[in-house]
Amino acid sequence: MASTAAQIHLIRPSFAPNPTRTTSKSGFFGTSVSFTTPKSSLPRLRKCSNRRNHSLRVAAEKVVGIDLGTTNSAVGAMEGGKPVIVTNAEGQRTTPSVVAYTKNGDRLVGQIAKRQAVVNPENTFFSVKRFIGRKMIEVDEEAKQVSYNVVRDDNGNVKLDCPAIGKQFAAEEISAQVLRKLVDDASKFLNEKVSKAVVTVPAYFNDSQRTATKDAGRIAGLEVLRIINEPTAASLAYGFERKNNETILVFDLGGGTFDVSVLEVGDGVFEVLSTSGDTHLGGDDFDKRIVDWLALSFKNDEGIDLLKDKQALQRLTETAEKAKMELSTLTQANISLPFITATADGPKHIETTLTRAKFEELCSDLLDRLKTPVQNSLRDAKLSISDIDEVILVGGSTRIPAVQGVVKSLTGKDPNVTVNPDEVVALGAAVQAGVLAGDVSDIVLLDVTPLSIGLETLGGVMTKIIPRNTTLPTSKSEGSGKKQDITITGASTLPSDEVERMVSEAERFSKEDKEKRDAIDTKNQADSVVYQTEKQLKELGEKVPAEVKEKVEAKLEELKKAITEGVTQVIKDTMAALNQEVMQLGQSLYNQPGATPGAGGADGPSEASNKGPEGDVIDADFTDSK
Amino acid sequence: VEKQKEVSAIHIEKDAVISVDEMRRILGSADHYEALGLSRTNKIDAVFLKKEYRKKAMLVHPDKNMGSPLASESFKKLQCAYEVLSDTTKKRDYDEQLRKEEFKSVAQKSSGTPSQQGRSDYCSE
Repeated sequence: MASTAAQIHLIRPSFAPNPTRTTSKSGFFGTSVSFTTPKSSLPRLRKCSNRRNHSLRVAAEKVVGIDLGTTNSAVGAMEGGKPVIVTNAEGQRTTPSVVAYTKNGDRLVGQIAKRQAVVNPENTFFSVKRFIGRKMIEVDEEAKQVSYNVVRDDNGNVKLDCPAIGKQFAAEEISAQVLRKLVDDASKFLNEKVSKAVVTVPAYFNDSQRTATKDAGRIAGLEVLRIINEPTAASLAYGFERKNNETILVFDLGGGTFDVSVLEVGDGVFEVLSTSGDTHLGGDDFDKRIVDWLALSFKNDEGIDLLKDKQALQRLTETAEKAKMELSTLTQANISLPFITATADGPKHIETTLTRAKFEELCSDLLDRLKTPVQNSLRDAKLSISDIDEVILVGGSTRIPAVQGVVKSLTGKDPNVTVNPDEVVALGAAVQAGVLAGDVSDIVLLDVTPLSIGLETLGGVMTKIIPRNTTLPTSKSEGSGKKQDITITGASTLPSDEVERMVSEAERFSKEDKEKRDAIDTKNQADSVVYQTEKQLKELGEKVPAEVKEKVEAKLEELKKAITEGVTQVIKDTMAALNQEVMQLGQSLYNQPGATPGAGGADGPSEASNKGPEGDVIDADFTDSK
Repeated sequence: VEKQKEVSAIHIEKDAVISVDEMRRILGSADHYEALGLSRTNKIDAVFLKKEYRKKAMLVHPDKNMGSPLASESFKKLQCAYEVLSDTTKKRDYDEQLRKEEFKSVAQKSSGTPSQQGRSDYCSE
């Protein structure tokens, strides 16, 4: 009888996903259904449950907010009337904005791409935001600072060279892959399809850079409903639950850019009064100072220039970032880089200590550069520092004590630390997404961006200066004809047919990706079924009737053959056939008159055949999802 | 839960009606004062002006009325009105212009020629 109990037990798991999703009905099916029915009844049941969910969902499709950062990205969404951070597939609240191609052509995005940067520097793309929507002549300095090759295409636009797959990417395509991962992960987290988003950009992004960011969304199959400024988004998250009138200054020092915005918040209206910044100043620059310091002292000691060695440079950069972060809480950081290079004398190591004071000395000019934008933004808003009620810090680099010191000395007040500098932008983007989706009714944003409401961006038309203190949109023809301020510089964005090509290419890649993942999953599953079946046969030994055993073994051989041939559909079919035989095997044991399997025997089938039906369920899942 | 959703749906629909009415009112307004729902004869308090502007912006802003062509037009008009009336210099010039126009239209009524030429709303951009 023990074996019977095991058999019933093994059926239950195959239904386990069901009761949680549907009503008690499936429970009824689950217990009374015969061995063969699950396959046919499962997908039908699932479809019913899907339809039910759809009719319940009154609200429109979910719109997410995305902070597409230079070094890290984050996604927010409105849940239960509040903005929350959506965790990624790895369970993290932020995702490195890194894309890599391995030597065998596999694409990696996020943490796994960042992790292998040291061993694959030429094919690991980071800080791509510095190149998006830019002309090659605008980014000469940045191009020198990355480990991959930045090249100029026929139109003078930036292309990123990827030797691993012999292809040159537009920055838009790399950003699209980051966006694709963020949205895929968000869909999983929220358990619903996500195809619309609000994406943030630095306030000082020009029209080309904004359009290029929008194009990246399109290539990723995402409809970008609105591009909003990062500091503005931060203010939305900060002011979301505060209803009093306040004037706030947002100080946003991110991985690659520095933005300052002054906003007036009251009666639910968020009005940007001024914005200022430095497009070439961010956390990366602080890292670079440490890298240069390490490389210089190594050169003095050993006479070797580590900056010319891409792998060494990548290791220096990673270590520098870690040391910088440590110095936010500690007064000194130990730097240890064994085997950084080798000479005829043998391997060379770096072993040193960086004090906070030395770090601040190395970065003193960077710290100085923080001052002017703050002063400009106040001047443009026609305010003095005493008019500011709160100073909000945004971006990981505002954790640097010296940066906070500059803010304090400039503004004379302690900055607000109630918001998480890494998450506040994505949360604010989620609030704006909620406004556009109609989920948030009591907030409206009046921004000063050239790409805001009512003004369409023309490809290649770039506004030279963001009109200060002018809340757009206003029609260009009204007033004194200021449209002369627009300069035509030639498109640094992609032509639309090229975007179309990239869109279809990305779609094809995503289909290929799915197929690849399916193939890997199927093969692993089949391997496991083979192992479990062999184990079961061995354990049961003579208890199995010879003709049943023969059938199982025949199917087993077929599956093994299918695995070596590697055709996913064939593996799936043979696996299903084998599972049928394994079930028959279980049934034959149960039907055996007076069968009393020993203790070991009882454990065997329960564990082994457990695997069988489980495979079936996953199989049904695949067909269902198509 | 369903009932709550229904109630909020009705609420949203009602809001939409109010918004559309407000957009039409703003688009039909003859001058900046009317757009903001103010009287020309009374002295305008800056705090009150801002409050009225914000209240109306919340109703007619394009973000609140996705896909409505009336929204962006009426919002632009509202914004232009606020920009002029909240700036003492612009307001003074604008008041002057309004007076001239009134005078002209009175004069033109007697001479019988059409009016309204080259009127500037004193908005930047």
